[in-house]
Amino acid sequence: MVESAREPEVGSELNPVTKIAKNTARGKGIHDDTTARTLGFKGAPVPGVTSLAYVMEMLLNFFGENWTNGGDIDLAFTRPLHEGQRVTARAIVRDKKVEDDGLRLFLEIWAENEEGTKVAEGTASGLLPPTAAS
Amino acid sequence: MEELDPQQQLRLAEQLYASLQVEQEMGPWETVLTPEDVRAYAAAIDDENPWYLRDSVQGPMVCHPAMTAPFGIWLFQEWRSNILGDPVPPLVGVHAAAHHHYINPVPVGKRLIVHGKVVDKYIRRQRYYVVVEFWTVDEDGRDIVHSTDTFLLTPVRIPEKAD
Repeated sequence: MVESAREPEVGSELNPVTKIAKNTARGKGIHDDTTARTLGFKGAPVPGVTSLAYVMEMLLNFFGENWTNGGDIDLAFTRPLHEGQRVTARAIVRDKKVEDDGLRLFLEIWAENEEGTKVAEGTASGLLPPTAAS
Repeated sequence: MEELDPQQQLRLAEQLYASLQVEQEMGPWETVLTPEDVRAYAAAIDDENPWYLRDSVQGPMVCHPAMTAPFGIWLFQEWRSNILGDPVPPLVGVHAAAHHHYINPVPVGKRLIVHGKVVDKYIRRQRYYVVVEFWTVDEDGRDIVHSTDTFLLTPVRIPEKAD
């Protein structure tokens, strides 16, 4: 499950996660197709928290259970993602810092659609599992 | 269902924006995530990690941490309804950004208590935004996650004033 068998280098990419986007709040608020079109969208956007879950799956695959001990994610939902679109969560290691609890990795993160357009972007950081940091 | 009117949406957003005060607190709001909730969530986001399906030799079943991500939205919607009085159709907002800092695993079957506080409000690109901090603790008082969510009150733009 956890891919971080060794400490990654700055500039390296985590294993991406690809999904077919689901509208997990279909029919509610802006996630209703008619409502979204009335308010100027091309169709109902997938909830931001669903894009966040896809990105977080990638982070959980890397950091494992350490994610819930100081894992930090900051994500802006920059473009609408629509149901049925292929979406890929990606991350690049941008920095590392030794902390009392271990080595913290700082990441640039984003989710992109099949055209390569970013639909969400931001930063994340987490502590490496001890076996990877040693 | 009453037809959605963008101008009515804008008026509701103006009313809510005017009512919001920085430092204003909201909540508490409570929930319990059951094993059925955890499995349903994992299925909804197509995450087949066995952690979310059952107890295993590695340890007890755990919640996907992203299950806490909508808590702030739900608390904010409840609080918003109290201010606007549940208009029909309701004000339709958009989740613009989220920041979550995880402190402890999200427990299955325990009461989770969420508090919120408005930390900023602003107009950008002719639209109303509000920023709310949320913090979630479990029934034992253990910190679970600290969050900050940015909400666009309505995607309808404020008309530009004529010179």
